Amino acid sequence: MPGNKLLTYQGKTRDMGTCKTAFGARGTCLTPYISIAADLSVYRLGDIIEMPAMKGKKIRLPDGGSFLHPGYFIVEDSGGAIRGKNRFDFFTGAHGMRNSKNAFGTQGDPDMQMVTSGDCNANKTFSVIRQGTPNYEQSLASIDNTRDYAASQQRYVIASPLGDR
Amino acid sequence: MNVLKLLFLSTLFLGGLLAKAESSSINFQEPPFWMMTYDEFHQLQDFQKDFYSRQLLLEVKKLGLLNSPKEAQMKEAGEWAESWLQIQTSVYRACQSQDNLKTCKKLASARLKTFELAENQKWENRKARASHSETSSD
Repeated sequence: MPGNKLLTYQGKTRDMGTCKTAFGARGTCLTPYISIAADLSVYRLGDIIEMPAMKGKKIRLPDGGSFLHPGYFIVEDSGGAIRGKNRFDFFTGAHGMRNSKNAFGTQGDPDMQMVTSGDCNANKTFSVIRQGTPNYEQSLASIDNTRDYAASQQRYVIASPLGDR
Repeated sequence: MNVLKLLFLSTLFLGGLLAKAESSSINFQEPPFWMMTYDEFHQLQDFQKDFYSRQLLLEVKKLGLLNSPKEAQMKEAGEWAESWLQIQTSVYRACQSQDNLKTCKKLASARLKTFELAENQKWENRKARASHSETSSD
């Protein structure tokens, strides 16, 4: 909307501020390839998912620039279709799962695709790092460093209702 | 007046210490999540805070807690982690009883509904949400 405002699905408007993408359930600005949605009856907002196979993978951002994935994701959103402890929705900005620019989509590198159905494979092995546990702060710092680096490079496209099909 | 203020603060401080001691034996980070953590609540948008606070007050009254929080206390708790922890510990302790299961499930549901109010609703999730509400018996 004009004036850097976002019209939400509840009909409310919100100032985007410095957020260039979208807001999640905790009110924080979502980061492509870092923020995930999860079943919040199983996870708390802020829980970290460690996925070792992702560490060091080069991620191209929607509008140029790239960063090396830290191997961690952070739960910052929820969704009606996301149920159970083994299901996540990876926020990838404006690009849907069939978009060629989506590193996690159907046209991404096979070892980074997050949309394949069927049995889990080694690339998707993960563990949960709950808040208050010994590794949490270190993992969070790694995520924050990545976010800062990615933010310094990117010119995100704001997620649109039509762009995510 | 200063003595009264000091007494009030001391009571809060002691209450906080007791809650902390008891809370160390309760794992708030593993499900079931009967109540939001302070961090979860503190980062909500104002309309979410209003919604959750109302729901929380409504259901907590049914738990028969000795010191059920009033609206003003809830507002204060939202600004002070120790105060929130006291309420959270009391709720979790009450939710260990099967007699309170129905109310505790409503508390857990209120937490989820609060997050739904602001979630980034992709098309797939809006469709799933609509289908759940059609079949929901709540």
